[in-house]
Amino acid sequence: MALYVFGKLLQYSEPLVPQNMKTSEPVPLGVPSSSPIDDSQGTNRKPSHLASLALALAAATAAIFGGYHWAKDKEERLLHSAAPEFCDAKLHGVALIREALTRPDTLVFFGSSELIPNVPLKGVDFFAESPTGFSMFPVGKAGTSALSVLQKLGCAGEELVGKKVVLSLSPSFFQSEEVDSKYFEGNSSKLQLKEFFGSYRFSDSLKQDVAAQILKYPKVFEGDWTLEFTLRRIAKGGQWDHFLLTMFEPYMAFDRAIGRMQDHVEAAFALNGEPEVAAVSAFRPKRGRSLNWDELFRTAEQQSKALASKSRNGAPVIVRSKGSWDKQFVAKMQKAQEWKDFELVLRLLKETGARPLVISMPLHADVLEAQGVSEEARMQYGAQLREMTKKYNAPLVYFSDHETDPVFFVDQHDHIGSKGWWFYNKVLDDFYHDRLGLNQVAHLPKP
Amino acid sequence: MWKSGWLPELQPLFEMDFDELFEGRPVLRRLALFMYYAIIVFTLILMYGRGDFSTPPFVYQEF
Repeated sequence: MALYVFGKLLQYSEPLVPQNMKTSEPVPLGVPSSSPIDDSQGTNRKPSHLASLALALAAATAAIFGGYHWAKDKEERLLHSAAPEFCDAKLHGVALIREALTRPDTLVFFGSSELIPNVPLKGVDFFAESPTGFSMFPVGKAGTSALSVLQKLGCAGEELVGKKVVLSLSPSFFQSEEVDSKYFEGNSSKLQLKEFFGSYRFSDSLKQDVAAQILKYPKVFEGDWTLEFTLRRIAKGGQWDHFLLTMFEPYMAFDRAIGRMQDHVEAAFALNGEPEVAAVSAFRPKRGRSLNWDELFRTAEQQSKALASKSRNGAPVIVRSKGSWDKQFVAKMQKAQEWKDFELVLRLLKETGARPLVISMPLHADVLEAQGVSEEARMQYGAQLREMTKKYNAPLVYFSDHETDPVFFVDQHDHIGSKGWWFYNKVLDDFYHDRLGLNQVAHLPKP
Repeated sequence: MWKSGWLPELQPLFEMDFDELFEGRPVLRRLALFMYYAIIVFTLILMYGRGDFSTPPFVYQEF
């Protein structure tokens, strides 16, 4: 309806070219023009389309600028309200991860399904009020394997420089040659990948190796020719490919800019209406207080035992004799794709100068024993993990001493319970406050 | 057909002489033209301003 009225309006508005230019008759010099533009009284002057369009575009630009600042304000004030959330804007966007990484009072924790079960002392709840001066900002959901972590880290680019980050590893990803492709597809983000490949912070060789990996998952770039084009050109890495990428870079940069704006809008809408957490909303490091960790440990153990008593998980059924599956277990574990992806993550962190801490849960000794995997074979996981982290000078905390602890986990998968979270929280606190001694990096002693 | 069949009460509007309406009212004409372009631009922003960050769904089977 409105368009009809305005369409009518257009019929009656002036043409863009002055009337006297259309006529074939020459206008005599010195004679005032009869064009409406030259009308000194202004009564017959008709507005030009160009001016109205320019005004409308200016209004739109002002609105976009205002919206951007509104979104940024929401992100700054309500960031910690998003900490326990698993929304797309947080996990697959860029704005909230970058905002968390810029804040000195926030420790960003990249994990997986261990972040989901609601158990007492879960890190995000434990540090919600900054009890010791910082808050935890977990990023990840079920199935977040190393390649998913890589894109979440890679999208941050410059924000990672010198920043402490925590990587929580789930050993189950390392126990099969390939992680289910649906896990990466379900955790992938076109925007995060574009930001990573568009960043000048990372080397061409790293981008090439990552692109080659991601091309194995066509669903990730399905329907987005710019991402597919970028991936294929970077993976190939020839001179012609570099030339094409350079030619298309202005368009790609514009595409990323649009994506970032959309991301801010999505983040602001996701946060809109969330309550502001007064203790953590201010942008400054908190002083915090010292906690009675021994008392907390006793509470955590009691809660874990209470959870275990309610659990319906019985003892694992023995399917093989002791040590009969060692060879197969070690062979699968050593060939696991997850090691290559994890190494890419460590390379990325090294290139940015970030300060990572790698935490690994223990293996489930009872489950693996029942499957015929002996302690000697299980130790290979820790050995390979230590070797890789040592190569990139990344501190490692591997809770191998707890693989027979019946209440470290909340179930028979890589989901830690209250007791497990106590250990994680203690390590995070020590890491944030630079108390994690070099002697502690192999494993933490029991209190 | 749609002009008379769907919205008969708006019939006078469709037959309105816009030239007459805007004659001698340059401010009104300018405002209407600005609104016309503003509606187009803002509609485009609303249509394409929001991103889609959804991923292919998957069922995590380890709970």
